[in-house]
Amino acid sequence: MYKLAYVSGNSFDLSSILKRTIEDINVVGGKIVQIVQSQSSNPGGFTIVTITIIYTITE
Amino acid sequence: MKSPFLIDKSYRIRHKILSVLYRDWKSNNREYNRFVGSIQISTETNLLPDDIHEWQNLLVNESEIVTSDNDGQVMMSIQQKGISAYIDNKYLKDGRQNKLDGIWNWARIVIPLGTLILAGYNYYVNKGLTAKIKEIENKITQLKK
Repeated sequence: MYKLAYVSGNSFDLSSILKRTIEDINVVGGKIVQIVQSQSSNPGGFTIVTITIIYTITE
Repeated sequence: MKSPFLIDKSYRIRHKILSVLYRDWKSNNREYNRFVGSIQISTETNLLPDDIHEWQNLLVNESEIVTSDNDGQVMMSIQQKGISAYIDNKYLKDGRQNKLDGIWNWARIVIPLGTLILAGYNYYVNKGLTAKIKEIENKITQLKK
């Protein structure tokens, strides 16, 4: 069964929360299938990135 | 009934989310990269989790927080811009300004309309008075004769 996790925020601030999310996936024995990134710019000129992680958990 | 002077819900929710994240950051030696779950925010603020999930994206777009949603479990972390926004009461100020703009927009319509109605009413009343004055003048003229 596929599960989804995503992290979202300013591209410069994302590393910690991405690390934590991947750790959480590992803790439950999840296997990452695919990572998809999308991005947009906010009015302040910052790049807002969303990283979507698709993973499975073997029952 | 909703008070016309009450700050819009969306601004209050964003301020409350930042307040919980700020307090967590401050009470943990101002350490960045701390994560607070949406359930904790909901418990501390009495906000509905749906409301939190709805408005968090605006904070993300302003680079004030980063979020993660892992199979429905939402976590947030405050960033420097978020701290500045909370300390400066940015969303409360924006909310008040938004409310004043709304009142001003209504006033721009209601005041000229009210003036126009009042002018029409005055014209109608004056027209009646003019007729009465003429009538009295005529009577005085007749009496003089």
